Amino acid sequence: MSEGSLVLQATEREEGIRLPSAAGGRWAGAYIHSVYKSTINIAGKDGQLLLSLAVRPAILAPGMAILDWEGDFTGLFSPHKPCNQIRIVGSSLQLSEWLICDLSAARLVSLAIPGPMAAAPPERLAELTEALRRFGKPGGAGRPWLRAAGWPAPLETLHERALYSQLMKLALLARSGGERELYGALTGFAGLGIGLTPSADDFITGFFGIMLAARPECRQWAEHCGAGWLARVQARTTFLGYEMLRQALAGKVNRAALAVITACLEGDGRRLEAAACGLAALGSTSGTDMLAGIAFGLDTLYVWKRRESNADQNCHSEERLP
Amino acid sequence: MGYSLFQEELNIINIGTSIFKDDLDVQRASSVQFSWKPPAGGSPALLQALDRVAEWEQIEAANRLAVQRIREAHPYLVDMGTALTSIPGMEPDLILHAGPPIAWKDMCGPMQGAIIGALLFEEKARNEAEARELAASGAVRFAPCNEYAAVGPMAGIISPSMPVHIIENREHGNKAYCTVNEGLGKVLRFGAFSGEVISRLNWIRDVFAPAIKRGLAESGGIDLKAITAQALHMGDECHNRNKAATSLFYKEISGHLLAAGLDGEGLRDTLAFIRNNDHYFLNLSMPACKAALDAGHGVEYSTIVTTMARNGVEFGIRVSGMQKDEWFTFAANKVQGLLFPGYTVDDAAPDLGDSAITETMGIGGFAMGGAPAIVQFVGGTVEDAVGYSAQMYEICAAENPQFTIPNLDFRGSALGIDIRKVLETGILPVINTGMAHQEAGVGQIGAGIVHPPQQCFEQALLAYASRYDGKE
Amino acid sequence: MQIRIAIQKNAYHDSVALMSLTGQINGLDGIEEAVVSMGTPMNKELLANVGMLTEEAAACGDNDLILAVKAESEEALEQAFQEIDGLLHAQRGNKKKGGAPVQTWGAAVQALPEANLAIISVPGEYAAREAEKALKQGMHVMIFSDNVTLAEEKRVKELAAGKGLLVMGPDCGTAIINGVGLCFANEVRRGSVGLVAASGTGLQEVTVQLHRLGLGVSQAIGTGGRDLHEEIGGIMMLEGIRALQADEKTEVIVLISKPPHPSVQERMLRELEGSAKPAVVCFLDGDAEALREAGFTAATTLLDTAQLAAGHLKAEPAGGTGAGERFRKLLDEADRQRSRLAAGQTDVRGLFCGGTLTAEALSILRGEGLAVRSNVAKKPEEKLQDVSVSTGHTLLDLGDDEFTRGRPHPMIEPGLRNERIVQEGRDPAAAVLYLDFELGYGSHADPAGVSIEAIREARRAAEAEGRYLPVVAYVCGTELDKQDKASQTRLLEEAGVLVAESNKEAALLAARLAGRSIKEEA
Repeated sequence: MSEGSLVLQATEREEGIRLPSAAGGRWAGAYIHSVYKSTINIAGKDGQLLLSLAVRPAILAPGMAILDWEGDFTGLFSPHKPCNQIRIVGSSLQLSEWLICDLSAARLVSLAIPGPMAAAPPERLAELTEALRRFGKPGGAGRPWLRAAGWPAPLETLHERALYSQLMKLALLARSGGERELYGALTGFAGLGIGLTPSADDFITGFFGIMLAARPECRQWAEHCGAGWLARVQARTTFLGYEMLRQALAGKVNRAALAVITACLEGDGRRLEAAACGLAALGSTSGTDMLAGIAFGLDTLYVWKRRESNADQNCHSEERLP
Repeated sequence: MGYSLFQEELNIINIGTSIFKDDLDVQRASSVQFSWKPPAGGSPALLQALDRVAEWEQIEAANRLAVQRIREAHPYLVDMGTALTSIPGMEPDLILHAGPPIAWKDMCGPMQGAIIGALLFEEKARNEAEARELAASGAVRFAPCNEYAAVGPMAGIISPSMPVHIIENREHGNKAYCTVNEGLGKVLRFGAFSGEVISRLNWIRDVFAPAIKRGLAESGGIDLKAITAQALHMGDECHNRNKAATSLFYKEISGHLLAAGLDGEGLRDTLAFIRNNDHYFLNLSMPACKAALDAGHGVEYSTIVTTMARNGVEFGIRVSGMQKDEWFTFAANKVQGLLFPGYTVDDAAPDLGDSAITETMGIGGFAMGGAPAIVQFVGGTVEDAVGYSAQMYEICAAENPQFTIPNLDFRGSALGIDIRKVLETGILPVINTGMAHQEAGVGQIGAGIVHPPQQCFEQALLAYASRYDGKE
Repeated sequence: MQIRIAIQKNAYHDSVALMSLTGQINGLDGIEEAVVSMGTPMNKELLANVGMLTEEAAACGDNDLILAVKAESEEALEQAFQEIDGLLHAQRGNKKKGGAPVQTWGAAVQALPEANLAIISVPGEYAAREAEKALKQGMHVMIFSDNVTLAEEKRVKELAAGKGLLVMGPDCGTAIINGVGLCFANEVRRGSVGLVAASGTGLQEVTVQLHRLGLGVSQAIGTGGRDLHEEIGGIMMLEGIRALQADEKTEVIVLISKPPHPSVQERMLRELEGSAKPAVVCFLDGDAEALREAGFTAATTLLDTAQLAAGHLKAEPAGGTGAGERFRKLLDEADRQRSRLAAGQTDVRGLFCGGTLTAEALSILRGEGLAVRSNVAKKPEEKLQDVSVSTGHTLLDLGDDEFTRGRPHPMIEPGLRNERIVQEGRDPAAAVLYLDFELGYGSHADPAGVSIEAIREARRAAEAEGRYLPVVAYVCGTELDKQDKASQTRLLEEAGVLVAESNKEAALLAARLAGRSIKEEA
């Protein structure tokens, strides 16, 4: 142990994080990309996010390790700015002169989206929408989605109004267009909204979360077209938003979103309510936006299921959402 | 000419009655309220001295140098030894005590009790009566620990055969010494001298100290500065709350003891002794501070305080720019705080012990802001604690970025008490401390906050002014 | 509609903080739209759609934070961005401008690094020391404290003059610098009359009268009561005059003080002679004739001073001809009340909070032929022997040292006057009670209200013994002062008090009530 250091132990880490090794590899040239109150992000010299460290009580997300600590990072790092080079000490990361993060004892957690899962019973969407109504926070995609779903939700900010008009276009496309067309159109949506991960990105993450769980076709699409899709999105959104979408297309989402997705597809109403409440608490509007994205995904699944099981094209674009 | 003022926006410092500031606020003028108090308690002689001294340019540089040395000091626990052979100047007939010099007959109950215990331990007396006679006879000499590069908590008694921690300041080479903390309850430092106390002292000498000595031999030294820095982030202030620091120390020493090949009962008991004493680290924290402050003593012209210590009757300070063993003393104050059930304020002895060396170093009470647990103990709120810590910046020359206080946004603790600033502002250093019962041997009866008497700083300034007068 | 955009490059702020920031900004008055989001193409498009995309915003990157605010006015925008700044830049150990009180010079300077003026109201024996500290830091100083020795005052002022800094004081109660009222001052219009005064309430009265005449004040510099002493030599009065001569906003210079030592007067008048700007000299109880002969515009009363300044500016005095009417009505009322006096009620009894108003009243009453005594009279025959008992016409300055030892000044605590008000009411010789009420900064929140009961009791006491006791008052303030001059006046009028519009008017009314036929002008 380095002398005079504060060692923060990670209690959990997402399994995709490989431990740093003295040999370097991806960790060579790693640096602190950004410092927030409860999270710091570590990037590699190629600019890719290697690791996020969060303090309790964070919700575990892909690429994240949670530390056994409840402090404030901005206090710890000030006046050191980000871009500090990180040293590897054994299997620990030396984040500053006297701050070490030890990942070796952390429990591995999988955040892989399960699948393929059976289609959800129809009540799920109503329950999910209800949960969104009760737990959702304003400012992001929550109220736009509710309005689009036929609820009298007010749109009070510039972003909410913009998100609404985009959502209506996407809903229309879901009803009238093809699967790949819809996925492709999402690149034009990314980057819209407030937050470090713009609302649209969270929404898309939630959407892909449930689609990947329910549709093998979606997984195939992600495998073949994902890279291109991500390349188009990268220039349109923030670093953190992009990283989150990259993980999503790789089949991983945060723990709370996973809980909602599994509850939707195989659980019962009560489990869904509890999970939705937990997800809505994430970030400021991120959780609500993801919830809305999952709801949109669920709605799209129904629409396509009906379309696929009906030979005739009675599903026209004016069909009201349940 | 006044015209440049007419072009600028007014930014006003309002010194004195605050009603004028209120009206400035109504007019939305930019202003700050300076809550003024008469400097130097209003004494004209002191004011004159302060003003005279304010002209001397050497002081800033001298203080910077003193503070730099104190800050750069790096104390390590390197060894365990016997007082007589380890402490330079220690003699067979000398007993060291806490605080400034004091004669046997003037000592408070706990200190006399501790000396009696020491004499019994040294086997120079067989019972209390003999010990008292011996102590009063003049055959035994007494001197402050601080004059021998040592410090002791509470009564702070060091007798020749006692084992002492040996701390080395590797940056400057000087050393400091302190005994082993016996734990809570009936212990020597509170003036107890029962058979139990003596037996424990014997065990420390025969089993504990040798074990630690062996462990330290191969360790390369234990970095006390690092432990203190971490402990300050873990809710300790390293004077009254030492839990975290003791745990950190325990982690290190246990490894060394094992590596040194200790085993069996000796190892178990040694480890248990540390483990069961949450204040073990106090007796390392204090000499670590002592070693650093001693490195900063003796800088010509410096007005930085290098020692604060009490002997249960008087409070004494030493100043860097004055002689090595020149004390400035005055009757000690009584501690204000919480008493344990069953005791009243009349039971308490006045302020006692060398542990104020921690506050002199900018930890202890100065770091109260980061130790909310201590706050309940001293009967205040967290806000009070943070407020005390924040106030100390006004009377110090600098900050120590190596000891940062979480609740003050990791600001470095205030370092280098400047006697001029103390007198100018009327703000006295704050000390967290325990209260001892004034009867020997009863023990700790409470804890709280105490301030040094202003007179110590006044005497120091007058002596300082006359020492350097006419030299500049 | 005003729009302002701020970009924060690579800003690292939590979403929650950003959300709450947006909410708070949107909640401010006058804000139409506040958008806080990252600089992604979609978000920029959004801003463009509502006309809020500036070039700078367009150029920023995905990971930059855009703060865009649309507000009704520049002020609302300014406020919004100040909030944003505060919320986003909460720095460690960073005190807000003038936040919590400090206890040391070091902390004061740290809290307000641009400090350029120190107002000192500490006990007199320490005031010079603090003043010197302030001057050494390059700040101008206002010393409200009195009981500073002559030697100390000289030392401080010489130090200041050497550094080109102003020392207003010691014993300076009033100043208005850059439109900010310091210590005791009234809220008056800003304008082009610059004043230098060695008297606090004198300065207040002239600024109030200037305001009443529709004019305004550029700067009102106080020099402290002793500046014109021979030892001090008028250092600050001269500095003040020079400063006003150089100030481009000042068009007329007004000097107010008691007559200075002849050598000092010489120096001052010589300075004024060379001035390009017209000047009005008010030496209370001085020889106005001699000054006029020497070619200066001189006045002996404060109201006249203001009027002469107005004359220099060729300004039409506001209130026009109505002023004469109003005073005539007051005179008529005074006559009516005088007829109700009992025999033996002969004396004017003035109880003042303001020292200079006392002196001015003394001067005016003397001019009307009354033999007046006062505790602050300069002439030996006018000096009151026993201040605890009034004899004949008596004007008391209750702010004088002997009354304020260990007690607050009556301007802060007018209630201290109440006992004496009742005492005068009981005296059969009292024909009229003459009171002043100072409004403005520093003064009591309700000076009239605090004294009403005492006034009523005094009158009741007189009535009980078959006497009628008229009361004349002057409320020194403007409609802009925080105490609401209109309601203070109304309170007094409802209690039957004759309220004058200037101290001069009040003095003339008092003289009238004591049986003098005065020259009917005010």
